Amino acid sequence: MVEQGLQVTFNPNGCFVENMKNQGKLIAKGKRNGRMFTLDVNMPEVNSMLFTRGKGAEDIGIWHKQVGHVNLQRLKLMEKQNLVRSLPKFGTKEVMSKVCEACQSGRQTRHPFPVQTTHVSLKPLEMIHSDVWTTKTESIEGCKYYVSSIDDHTRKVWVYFMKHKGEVFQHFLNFKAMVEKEKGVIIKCLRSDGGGEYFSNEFSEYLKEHGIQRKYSCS
Amino acid sequence: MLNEKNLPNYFWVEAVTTVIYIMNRTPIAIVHGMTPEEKFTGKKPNVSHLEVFGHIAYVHVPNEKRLKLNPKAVKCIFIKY
Repeated sequence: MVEQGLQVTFNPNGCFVENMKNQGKLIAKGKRNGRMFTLDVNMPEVNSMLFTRGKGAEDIGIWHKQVGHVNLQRLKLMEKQNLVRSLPKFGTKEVMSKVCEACQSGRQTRHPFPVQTTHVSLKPLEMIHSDVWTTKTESIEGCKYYVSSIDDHTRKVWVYFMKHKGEVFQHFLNFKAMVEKEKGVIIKCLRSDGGGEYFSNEFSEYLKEHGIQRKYSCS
Repeated sequence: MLNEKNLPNYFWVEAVTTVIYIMNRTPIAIVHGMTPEEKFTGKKPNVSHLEVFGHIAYVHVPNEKRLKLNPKAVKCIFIKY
């Protein structure tokens, strides 16, 4: 009430609400009842004074919460295009006085991944992506795994089916021999996850010997 | 694909093979205006022989493997290229 320029006084005769903006005009009077003052809130003047908000309440942050944590652009749009009634006027540059904690914990999203990948290979077989997939169902031949090899430049995919993960190395040798013969260029880089099947001694030795760079998909 | 034709799950190897086969012959965004197969081999892939995975096919039995009155074809399900 005080925020709206009213003065409330208590004295033995009762309590008095006066409007200081209007030369102290008496708006409402409450009775004294022993040690308690009663003020009839059903009187229209009192009601409007008590339950309308002062200027401070037009803070955009409060409206942000009242409209279900709507984002500010949308709130300003509602005000600007007169989509609802009784929304106060916000300036276009108005921002919230402090960061809304609820929105940070409840509505935060990750930044999207950059669209451009860091590596673009220019020729076939410059980089091979390899990964082992597994399933519980055995195939007719009893295979439970397959290793996929994807050429980064052309995105052509080759798959080899395996009964054991240990066959990865042999399949890589076969694959390497086949594609290198076909294209006449050599594999330069092998990119895989950190799966143990790529880290056997013979695999690591072979890559080192043939100068094939090894990269990891998450580094 | 397996579910569509009510094939048992142990045909997954055939399903994967078919998917890879088709993927290599269909364009993807990162290889502009080309299929991976063409980009790799330099030749446009032929798709006239593509079939629906798991459909019923009749396979011709060559002359030397049948007698006069034997059927000329056997009924099969197509699962792999």
